[in-house]
Amino acid sequence: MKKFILILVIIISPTVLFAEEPIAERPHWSIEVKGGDFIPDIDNWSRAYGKRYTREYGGSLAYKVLRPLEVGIEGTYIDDIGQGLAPLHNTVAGKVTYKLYPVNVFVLARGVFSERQWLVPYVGGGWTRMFYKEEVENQGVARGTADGYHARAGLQLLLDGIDPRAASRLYLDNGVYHTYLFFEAKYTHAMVDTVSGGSVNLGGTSYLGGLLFEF
Amino acid sequence: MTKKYFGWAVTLAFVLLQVSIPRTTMATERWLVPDVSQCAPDTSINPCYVTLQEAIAQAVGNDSIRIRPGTYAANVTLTNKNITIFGEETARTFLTGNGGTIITVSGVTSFMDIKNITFINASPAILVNNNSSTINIKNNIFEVNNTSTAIQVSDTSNPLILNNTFYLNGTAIQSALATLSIVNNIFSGNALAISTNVVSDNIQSNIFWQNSNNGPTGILFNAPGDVNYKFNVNIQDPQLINPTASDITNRDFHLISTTTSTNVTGDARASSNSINAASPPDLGAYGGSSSDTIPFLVSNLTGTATSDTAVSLTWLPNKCYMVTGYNVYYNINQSGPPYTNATDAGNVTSFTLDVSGVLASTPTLTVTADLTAEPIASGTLRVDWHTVSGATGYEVSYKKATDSTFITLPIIVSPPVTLSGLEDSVAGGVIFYDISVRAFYQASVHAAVKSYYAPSAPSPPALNLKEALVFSHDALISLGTPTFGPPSNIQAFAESIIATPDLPNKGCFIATAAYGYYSAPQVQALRAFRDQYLMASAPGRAFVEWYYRYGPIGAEFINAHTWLKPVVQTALMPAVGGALFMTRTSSLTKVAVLILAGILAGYLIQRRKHVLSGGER
Repeated sequence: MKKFILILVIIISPTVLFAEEPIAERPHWSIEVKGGDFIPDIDNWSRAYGKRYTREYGGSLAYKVLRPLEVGIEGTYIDDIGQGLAPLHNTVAGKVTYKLYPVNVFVLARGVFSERQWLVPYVGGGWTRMFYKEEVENQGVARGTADGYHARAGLQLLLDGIDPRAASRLYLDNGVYHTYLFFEAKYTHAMVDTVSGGSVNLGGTSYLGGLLFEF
Repeated sequence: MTKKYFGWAVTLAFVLLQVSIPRTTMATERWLVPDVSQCAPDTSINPCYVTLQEAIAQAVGNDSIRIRPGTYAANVTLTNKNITIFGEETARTFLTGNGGTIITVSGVTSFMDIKNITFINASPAILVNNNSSTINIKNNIFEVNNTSTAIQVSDTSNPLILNNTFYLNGTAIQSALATLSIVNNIFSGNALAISTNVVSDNIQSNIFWQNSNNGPTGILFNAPGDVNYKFNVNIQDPQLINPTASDITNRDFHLISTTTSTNVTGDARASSNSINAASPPDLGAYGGSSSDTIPFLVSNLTGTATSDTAVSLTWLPNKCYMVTGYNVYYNINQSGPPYTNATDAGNVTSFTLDVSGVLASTPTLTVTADLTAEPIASGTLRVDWHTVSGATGYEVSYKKATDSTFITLPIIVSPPVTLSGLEDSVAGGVIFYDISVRAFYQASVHAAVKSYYAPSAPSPPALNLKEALVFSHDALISLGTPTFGPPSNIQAFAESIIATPDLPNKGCFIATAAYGYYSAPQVQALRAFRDQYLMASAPGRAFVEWYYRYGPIGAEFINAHTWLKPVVQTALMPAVGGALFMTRTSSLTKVAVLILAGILAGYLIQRRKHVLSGGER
């Protein structure tokens, strides 16, 4: 862990040191579009759905209370189609469609010290409401929700320097101050009781990438 | 120069001439299609579009636009472009204006045609103006609206409206031009056939039938021999085959073959029954030299087996004057289209088809191999097996192992088959089912019929003539007796499938219906009360069971009567408050509140006693 923090400091430091002084005018809002892999925290997932992970897509809207601190809401969509279990036959059988709609309210701290800082680390987390829908074909649909929490961390890469003219046009035409490419890891935890007894975490670990627009 | 070199030089010059002609000077036939799968095979020769607007925008002078059967919304203007626009099949090529103008022709000064199209829902369908000339509108059907105008012409020289059928329009033609030629049209059921204040000799050889108003009295319906006799007829039913079908694609504006409205010489009142394929009439949308010759599809085809190798087919006659015969298409043991066999039946409506020449001998059927049955849902088994060579179907039977009688399903064409409605097995109580599958063979004929048009008597088979573009429905006729292969048997059981993860369906029916969504805090409070208190006691569980049986009925009623929601919300308020109090507060708080409530109740009772005994309030 110490090594990780040290590496992070080494990476971030030059971008902070060589960045210009912050300007008075700054963005107040940001939106993200993101997608990636979601690894469910569910036993036997691979057996039922054929692989260890599934896809996750989504986006978020955040308000910057301070330049390095923002609050917002994030919604994503996760789905997969697999099979259920026929316990007497001890085999997978049937067709199951599984969908999750996590809604996250979050607080996010960003290590941004300059408007031209090209690498920005961030960390955040908050409350999660996990909506689910699970359908066994020709058998029935189960819907419900579970409350929980999530935490995420990642790195944002400022893209403005790649094409300054385009970035300038984006600002003048659409009011977009900055565009970032980002990668993040997210952990979600939302427990729900199962029909057969016990409980299961509907969350899991996500590895997401996407674009962030500040305006 | 020798002959040899001269020949080479001419060839070279020809090739150079071909490649040097600018593309724009060569007339291009552009295709308008309902979807791109119907484009021409080579779109570099026949560019393809899905909107008329786009096709016209790309077209240049002398181009033509072929409209494939379909319905297209259009509102286009042709300005200084002489483009021929034509439908591939009049009866199934629709242009709709959605109440507006479909085609405006403006300033087109050289020859152009608009033909073989059915115009619907427009006002007007075609508008010609602004110094246009030599515009031909022919062989179209206009059924735009009973209050709208079909064609409006002004400021144009030498326009020709020829061989159209105007049916149930407000005004069929509106124009004040003396040079407008209106010839060989059928005006039927229009509010006003021709709106003009200039009646010229160019209105001739038209049939007017059951219009509320034919137009100005100057239109000449005089008897033969009169000086101004122009062959217009206003007393004669044109005898259209079926103009009133509820489905617009089934409206048939062909003239019936026995119509008396024939006019091969220019007289709309020619002698009756002279019509035939060799001398078609020249009246209406399906008359004259530019008419499409595609008959309607054949309807009501039925068939029965007359022997093990022959079937008798019958169908309704197509009454169109053009139809001169029918082709029968068929497959053995396979539905169509496509069909691999065809024969010319001639001009009949019943035909015996002998298939002995194409009928294969009955195969020897083997056992169905690798029979499996797997549970796929509650009470459901999917039964699968390998196909058997030569089989035309499979018979599947099943029964509960303890029963004596099999249930046999209708013959299916191919595996798998799903058995549903079975009893689920549970741990300690497996319910087995016996399943039996055997291959099945029965020879069958799949037949369809198309009408065709052959101006001169064809020598059979008359295939590849002008046929209906669409087959009649596919008629299935079984031949001989069925044979079966040996059965395969398997024993299996059904069970309910458990999803991964096996999540609960959380529904608090009435409260969810009242508050609109399951995760409403009020619903969650009631649910928590159920889990913590009701489910902890036998009477509570009995109440929950009763509620789960009848709650959905109440919820359905509330959802169907949304005005009840605020009422139910108000009624639930004490219950929600109580549930919140019971589930969200500590035991100490509960005790404290109960003590306070007791003190308050005691105080109120004492006070009431005091007042009743005459004391002061």
